[in-house]
Amino acid sequence: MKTSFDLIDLFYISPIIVLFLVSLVPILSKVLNGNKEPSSFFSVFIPVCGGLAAAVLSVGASLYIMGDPNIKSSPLAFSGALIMDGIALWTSFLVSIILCVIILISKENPYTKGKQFSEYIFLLVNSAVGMMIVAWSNDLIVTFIGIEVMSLCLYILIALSNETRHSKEASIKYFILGSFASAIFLYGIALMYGTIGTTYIHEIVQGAREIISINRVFLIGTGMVALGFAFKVSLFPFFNWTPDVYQGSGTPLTTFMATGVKVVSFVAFLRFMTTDILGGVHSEAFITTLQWMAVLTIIVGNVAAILQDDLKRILAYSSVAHSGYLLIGVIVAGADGGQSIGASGVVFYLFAYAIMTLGAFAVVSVLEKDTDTPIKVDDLKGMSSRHPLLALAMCVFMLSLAGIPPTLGFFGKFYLFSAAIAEGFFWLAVWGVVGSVISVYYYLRPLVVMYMSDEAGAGIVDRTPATRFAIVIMALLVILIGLASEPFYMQMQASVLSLY
Amino acid sequence: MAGDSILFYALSFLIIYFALGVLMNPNPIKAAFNLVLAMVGVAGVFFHLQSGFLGGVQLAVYAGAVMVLFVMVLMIFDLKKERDAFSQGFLGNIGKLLAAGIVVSLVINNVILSSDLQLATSNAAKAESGRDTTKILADLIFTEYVFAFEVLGILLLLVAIGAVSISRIKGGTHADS
Repeated sequence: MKTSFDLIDLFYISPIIVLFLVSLVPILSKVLNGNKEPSSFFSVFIPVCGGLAAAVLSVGASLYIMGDPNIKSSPLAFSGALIMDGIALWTSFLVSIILCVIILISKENPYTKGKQFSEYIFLLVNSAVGMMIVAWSNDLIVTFIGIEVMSLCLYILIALSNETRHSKEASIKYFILGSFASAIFLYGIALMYGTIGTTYIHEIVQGAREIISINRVFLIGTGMVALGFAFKVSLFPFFNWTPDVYQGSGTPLTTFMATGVKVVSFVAFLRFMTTDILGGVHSEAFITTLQWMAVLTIIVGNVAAILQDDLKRILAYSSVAHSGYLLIGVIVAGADGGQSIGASGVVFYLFAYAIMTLGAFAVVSVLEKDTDTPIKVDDLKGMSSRHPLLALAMCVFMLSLAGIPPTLGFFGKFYLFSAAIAEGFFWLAVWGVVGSVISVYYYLRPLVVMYMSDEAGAGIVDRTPATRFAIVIMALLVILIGLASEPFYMQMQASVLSLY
Repeated sequence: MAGDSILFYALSFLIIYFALGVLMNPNPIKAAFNLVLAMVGVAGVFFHLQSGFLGGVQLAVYAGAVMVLFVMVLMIFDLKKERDAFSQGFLGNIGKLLAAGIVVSLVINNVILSSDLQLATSNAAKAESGRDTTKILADLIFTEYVFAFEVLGILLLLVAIGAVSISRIKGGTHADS
């Protein structure tokens, strides 16, 4: 009887084992405690510790792999189901950190705190488990299962909100559209398996370039899988759900979707596009379509954001626009078979984007008094005089999202667009810059309102120390990693390329 | 091989016929029964491909258990309003047919245009008798696909807890007021 996995495989997946076990703690203590909500020691402290442990274990796995001279290429785990390369480990580290911040925000946000918080934490942590599976997956079937674990948790989490109307609408909208996209994704996998005979990425790489040139069924299969990803990361024709769902969900969940879901979906998308499917004879049309999608996503996201007044909706459209920038990096990495600087540019941008978006949404969260009053831009009025530290932090996030030096967002865009120019996608970089210039308008509006108006807007909710702590940490990270971006990026590039 | 082809096309015709029935039928119960028949057809295709285990599972789990639940839920709810909302008469049906037709023709067109259609030869297809496929399937689930299999266990736990907690939210069927 052949064995299918070793102990080392269990070590590689230890972050998700830890997270799954930790997710059971609050709900179990609720059951044992006669259906009473457990104290925040069980429902916040232990899950956050679990998230930090998962982050440490990801780094540990990375150090182990790089320290072992016997490991030449990226190790596969569970007979090829998972791959432990640099991208996978950086992403699982990032997802763990995002999870910790989201737990802290959730405890203090009116949408999510209160009754059923332990069920909420259970689903939230397991959603992060699904995210890590998506990020590590080397098998399209496992990617699909990971996406489902992640999304099913989110559909339920959105519906669990304390707000009774818009969250239910957002949940059912996301559920219907998401299951439709999943069905198309799965059909695409079936068509690919029918032609190339495997669902493993490392085996698809070997035959993809040849088979896509002669086989149209394979081409349409890849198109359908790409479409499924395009929905998840909200690219141009498939982005319409994003503003509605982001606005209707509780702010912590919006943050989780805008950071975690987007990061891992882009990582899986990147893996899929770097299987050399863009190198075939008929792939010109594929590349052209993707380029148009990138350009239109950037334009539509940025222009629509200008017209909004609701702060969450502005950030939702801005996240659509950022998907467009990231797609540029994915195209660049795909056109070069994944060996280029494009891949590490995308990972660095995802890092930057996740940190600054986390911070910006946390500021929105700290302004929310109850679930019935959405936060408008005007609610930020006079924030600089009453809460100078938070206003300064918001300022940092907005400038970083707009891509103004020396913040993290600038260097993210810099590496992304310079990779595009190096690979000959000059006009894509131009559109990216044009989009960034448009975006400056709506990113600076909150700053103008905060610093140049003396009227009093919405007050900051008291008793939100953890969220404020998270905001300050994120702002410091944006500045510090921004200033030290060169060595940070080099480190990331080294680990991404060495483990490829 | 003519007999095989005839059987395959007959089954495909039935599946597509009943699948269209699901879309076109304004009465949800009738649509559900059409779905049962479509699933029986799919089970027939599995048997035809000599994977008896999958066919059996398809019959027992989907056509049997899942559909019974489906029909039961449909009967619990009063669906009069939904029926009016979802069946938009002749034009609506034309739209549904067109949408289905576009997707199907896209796939068929590409199948025909493909100069060289390679077909995967998986382990399951090579096996002769039904007992072998069951054994191969079990082997694969607990060796090669053990990770995916275990994650599906987590998925089921999530859905169970999620369903309970959704029924307990404000306005849910089991909300404690």
